[in-house]
Amino acid sequence: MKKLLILFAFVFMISSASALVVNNASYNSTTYETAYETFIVNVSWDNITYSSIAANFIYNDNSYSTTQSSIGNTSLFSYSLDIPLNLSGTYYTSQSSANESGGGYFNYSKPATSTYSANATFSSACGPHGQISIPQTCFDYYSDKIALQTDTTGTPTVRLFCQNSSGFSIIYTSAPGCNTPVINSVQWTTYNQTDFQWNFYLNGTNTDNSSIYQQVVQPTTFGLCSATNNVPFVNFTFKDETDLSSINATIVSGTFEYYLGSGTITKSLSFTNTTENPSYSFCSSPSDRNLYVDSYIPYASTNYPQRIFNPSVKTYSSSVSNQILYLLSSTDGLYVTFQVINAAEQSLQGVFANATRSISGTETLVAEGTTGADGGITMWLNPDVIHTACFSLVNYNIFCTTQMFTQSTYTISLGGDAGNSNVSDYQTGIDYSFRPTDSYLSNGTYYLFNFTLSSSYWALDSFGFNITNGSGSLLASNSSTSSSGGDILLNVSTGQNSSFYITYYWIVNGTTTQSSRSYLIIDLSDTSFSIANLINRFTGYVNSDPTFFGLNDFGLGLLSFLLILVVTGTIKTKYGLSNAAALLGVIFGLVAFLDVSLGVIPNPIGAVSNFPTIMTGVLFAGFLFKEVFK
Amino acid sequence: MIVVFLAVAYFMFGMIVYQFLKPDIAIQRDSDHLNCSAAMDWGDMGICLVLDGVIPLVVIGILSATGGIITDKIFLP
Repeated sequence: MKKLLILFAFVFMISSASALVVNNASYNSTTYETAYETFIVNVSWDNITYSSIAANFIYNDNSYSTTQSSIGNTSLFSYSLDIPLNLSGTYYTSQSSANESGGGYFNYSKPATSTYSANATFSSACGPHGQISIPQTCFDYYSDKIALQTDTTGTPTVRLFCQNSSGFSIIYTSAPGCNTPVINSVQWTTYNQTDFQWNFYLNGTNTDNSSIYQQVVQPTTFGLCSATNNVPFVNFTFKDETDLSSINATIVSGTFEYYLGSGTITKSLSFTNTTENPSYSFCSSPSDRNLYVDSYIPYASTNYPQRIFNPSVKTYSSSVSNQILYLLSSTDGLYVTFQVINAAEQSLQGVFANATRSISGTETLVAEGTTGADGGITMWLNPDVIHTACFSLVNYNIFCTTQMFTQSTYTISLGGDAGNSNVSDYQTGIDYSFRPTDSYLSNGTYYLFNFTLSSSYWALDSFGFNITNGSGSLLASNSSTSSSGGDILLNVSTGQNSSFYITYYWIVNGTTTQSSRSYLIIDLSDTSFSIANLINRFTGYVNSDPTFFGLNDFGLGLLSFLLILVVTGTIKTKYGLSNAAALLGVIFGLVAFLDVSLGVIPNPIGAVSNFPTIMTGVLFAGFLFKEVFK
Repeated sequence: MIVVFLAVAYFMFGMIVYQFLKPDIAIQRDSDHLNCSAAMDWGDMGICLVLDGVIPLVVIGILSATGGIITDKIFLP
């Protein structure tokens, strides 16, 4: 027996030593709705052989693949997410049956299998009924309604129902005598405790799961400050933009979308107060975190037409932000309608427009909105003050104008439709030059190539240029990463290349814009402009295929004969040269030039080279001897 | 003596001026234009020969002019 126990313990130890050990899987900090949190688990192992390890993070019954990093024998898995909202719902008023009047029901939505407990507070004409705890059983049944009604049978009472597998059950009954049929308010407050777990996969198989942990998620709130929500984040006040006097104003149908994390999950608040107040102070919870708020606030006052405050998402904290909203008196303003059209004079819908003016030295937004289907937008502006109005639409160049708007209608034409592509004009603000500016270079010479570029609009990723020769071989290149441009130099020899091809470029936002130019490299030495070069060229053309003007040997010989005849005849006639030896000398010179230099006099077959020249030379020598010794 | 100076001046001016013809002639003879080294067309061949003869003729003309001035004024009074 003892041996058996020892054996069992040994086996157990081996098994235990081979187990995956999960560490630090819980997330103990309290978090809040819409916050962005990272959950981390640390696992280590002994005596386990595997080729892959992975983990899934289960949160609120949703499974997520995690990111793994390893440190020695420890694997770290993490997952980040925006914390979903707690139980939420809408209270609807309704009358359910003849025996029940007034009341309504709370229509809620919840993720499945999570642990909930909730409190409801409501009041009727009988006064507040205190806080009623809603049991878990109300949330476990696949239904989404908790009813609140007044039972008018017998002595009227107020009752709270919830639906479970048995039907509706009463979870609260007020004291008798509450015979007012109307439930006039209900405050549904909840807190949530969400479950999460880690599942581990070795070699693709789920081998281990962590414990199920419970995460407390406190609600994130944003609303008008009250006794229960008393940490102010932003305070809105109102002033006359002309004399900067304080004004009482209303906010009608204002909306606030707010969140703590990345904005993937948000909460919203609708706010209306038709009573003119000097200020509206909004508080938020939790007080130790930044709250991101996207506001849409229509505000107005008596004798002050409505304006809308609709900025981009703002960050608020417990360090209170004071936001002054400006109104313009009906006696100081003018409705100015901007009609926005394109180059084809078609109305443009959805153009974002705003107007700003200087108030106390600060450019302040006083109007904004988007154009309607008619392409128009109307703003309440002071015609005696300079405003800057800007208009922007995707695929169109932004247009701004700064002036006094004294007319009731203005037409704004947005030009430069960039089409449906997302290509930007990366030549805007780009100024460049390339030297040398000559179209040709001398061979065998060093030149300093200089590319100068300046960018006044775009921030350059890089810019530079390449030099390639006529064969396409890269000879040199240089670049710079200066965001505003500069000079780039290269000292390169032309060598024996026949041409240089320069490609210069700049890169903005990963997009390359380039241009090019070429240089002809020529030999300016005198040997290429010599008489010998001319003779060689002529000889080459004569011997080429096809021959020069299609002349064959006979044709060239005939032309040579005619040339000799004409030149000799001209000399004799013009200058009276009649001596035979002298004429033969002229003929000999011409024959030698045409035969030896140009090679255009055909040689008899089998004769020695330059036979015509030799024969003519012999004749010339004979006549000269005769003249000398005559 | 003035004639000699005049002739020398003509020569120097001519030697400077003819240099300006070289790049244009070289560009025209290049492979991107007439491609004289591999001309196939008779007209191109003719023009190439003319271009090749321009500089020699200009030099000969300059030398002839200066030589003629000197010969005419000095050796042939």
